Amino acid sequence: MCVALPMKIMEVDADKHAVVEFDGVQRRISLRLLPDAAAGDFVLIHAGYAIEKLDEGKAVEQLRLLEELKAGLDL
Amino acid sequence: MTRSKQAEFWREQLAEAVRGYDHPIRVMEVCGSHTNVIAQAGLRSLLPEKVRLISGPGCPVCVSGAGFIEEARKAGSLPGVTLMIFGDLLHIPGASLERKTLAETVCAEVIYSPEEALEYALSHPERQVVLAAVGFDPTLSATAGVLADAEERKLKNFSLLSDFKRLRPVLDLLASGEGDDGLSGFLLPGHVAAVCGEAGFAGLRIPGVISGFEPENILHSLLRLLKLIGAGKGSVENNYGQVVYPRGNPVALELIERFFEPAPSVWRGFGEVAGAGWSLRPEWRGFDAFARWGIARIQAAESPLCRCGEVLRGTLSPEKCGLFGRQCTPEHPVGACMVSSEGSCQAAYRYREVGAA
Amino acid sequence: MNGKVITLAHGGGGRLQNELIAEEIVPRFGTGALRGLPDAARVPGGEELLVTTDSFVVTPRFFPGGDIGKLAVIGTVNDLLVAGGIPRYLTLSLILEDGFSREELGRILDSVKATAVECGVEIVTGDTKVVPRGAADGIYLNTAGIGVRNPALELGRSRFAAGDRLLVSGGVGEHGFTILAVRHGIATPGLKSDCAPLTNVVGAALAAAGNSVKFMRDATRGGVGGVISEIIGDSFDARLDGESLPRSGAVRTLEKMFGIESWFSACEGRLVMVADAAGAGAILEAWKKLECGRLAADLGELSPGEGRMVVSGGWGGGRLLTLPSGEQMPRIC
Repeated sequence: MCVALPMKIMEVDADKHAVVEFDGVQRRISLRLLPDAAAGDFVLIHAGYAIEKLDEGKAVEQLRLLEELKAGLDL
Repeated sequence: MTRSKQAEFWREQLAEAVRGYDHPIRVMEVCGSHTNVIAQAGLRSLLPEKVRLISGPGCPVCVSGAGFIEEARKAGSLPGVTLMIFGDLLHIPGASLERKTLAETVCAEVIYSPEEALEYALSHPERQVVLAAVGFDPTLSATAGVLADAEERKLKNFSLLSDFKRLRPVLDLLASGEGDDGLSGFLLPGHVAAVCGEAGFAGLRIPGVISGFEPENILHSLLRLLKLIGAGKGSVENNYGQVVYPRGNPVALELIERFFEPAPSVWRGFGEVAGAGWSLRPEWRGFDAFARWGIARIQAAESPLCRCGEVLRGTLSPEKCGLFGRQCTPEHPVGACMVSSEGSCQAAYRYREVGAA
Repeated sequence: MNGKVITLAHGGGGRLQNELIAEEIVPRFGTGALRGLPDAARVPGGEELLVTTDSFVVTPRFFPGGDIGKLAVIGTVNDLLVAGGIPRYLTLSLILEDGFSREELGRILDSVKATAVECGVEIVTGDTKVVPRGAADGIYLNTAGIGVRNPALELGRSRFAAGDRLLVSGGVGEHGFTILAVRHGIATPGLKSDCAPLTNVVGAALAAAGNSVKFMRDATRGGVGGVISEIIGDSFDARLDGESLPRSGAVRTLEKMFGIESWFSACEGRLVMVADAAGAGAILEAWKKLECGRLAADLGELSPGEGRMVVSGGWGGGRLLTLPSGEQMPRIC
């Protein structure tokens, strides 16, 4: 399933797993696919695995692009 | 900005992007999650008349068809075997005469991560665990991760019954369609792209925009797509840059490559397509449930009334199927498209539009 | 006494059953009408009575925010409250599986007692059965609740009119998703079951705009969507604003994780109210002052129709909200 959620790594353990959290929900997930991820990183979780790291700079830029697009509109 | 002002903004922008285009534009999304968000948020109502957004074969469970359900049922019926599946497979009609689902015939454990199957196998050495899985790159890579773990621990009571699908060859097929079935562009799946990267979609014959899953991101992606189409540019753009990178996730790709190889695969609605599936490499036959349990691949006959194939191909919209909402509803589905959580018919039915609220 | 587990003998009607009742039931509930363990309790009457019944089979039996015992009292009390009653008495029947832990039974009954005290109701009679191992899963509870009619409330569908508002008394889905999360090993420090009596919620609404209150129903299995569907019957449509369905952050995250829409997620401490537009604002304000009512919201309105629930997603048009086909969350309460 395509369903994947961004969550923040709270801690990484020695067993290639991490506890991730978002809005009061915590899960233990595998870092097998993202071994370099560290505490504090936002990662995309799919089926109990972190499949990619979120680039926060890009996320911010995305929002900025949208704002620019809408700039000049009557609010 | 209020929601209605936002809606107005997008409606105008999208209309502006195709002004001057005098013939219909057909674009296709190929991801079950996109299907759902688009239907739930009612995004189609913001598109200009001449633009049709079609739901394509983005539902792995749907394109695998009833045959996979029968294969899983065989595995689950074997003594000593614990069959573990994702919840989505539980209610798909099988191919037997009564079209029984796995929920109705076999005790299958529902899991939310393939790791749960691994953990169960470790803690229940007396049971033989069969993980039945379908999906695209994200689930495929998670399963490859599990196989790496299973191999490390030399697990003897774990095997995989899978029908993973590889999207790219089918996209190429769809992109080469002509006439009424011709497509002008793709909305590309953001989480598949997170794994395979922008590189996974390079060289497509028609333009595409990789998109995330928030409604505004999708609208923005559609806008970028229409602009590409209008400008006659056949390129692929990435509108989900916070998670999709040029080369994707190399660790995931390596693991996939280690355990799986592309293979011909039958997609409902398309027939057999070269390279459109994944099979376990021969050296990993030990983990192959088909081999271990002597389960043959089953080409199931779907209900002769079911037109899921045409829906998946994008040539029939769900509402136009004669069974839609009558003989075929989520309570009594005729085909997978109406009951899978990623199915086009399910989304069209659950989120069907009525007059403006 | 007979060790740590319930056995079939405890349900046999003989010495062991008497001992079980003496040890577990009488100390907790043995004053009042239950004293002397009559076959039927005599309770003072003379007013119009409301009666309800409910069974509780939730698993896991203990969960963040509550347990099956607390749920049994609250579920029954809330049914009486929203029907316009003041809850007074409860019956309590237990069906126990042979082998069930006495210690756990004790904890559940303690919870029943504490909740009954909190809700101002008395357990007046009950029954205990024991079934062979495998014939039940641990423990099932059944209750009947008796209340007296609350004269301050005039509830009835005949009062419905187009333009009446549909209000919900707090964030939804908290019970259902808490249970689901526990079952799947997902920790939810930011979430617990909303399992709670609705006494204050009903009281606050009455105080704020009692005459505006036309109808109430507590949302349990089937959630808010299930209840609205029952409320509107087939002579009204509900025009709902999809953006207004209140959920906490944790519930929104779990919705995405499980792919379940919160319109139909189980609650155990929320009610849906039909109130006229004039009083709706005051009711919501009163609810928001309560801890449990922080997310109280106006979901939409009644319009002439045929029993459809139409949700506007904000982006375009409206879509039909349809009841899910099966059990989204089995054994949720």
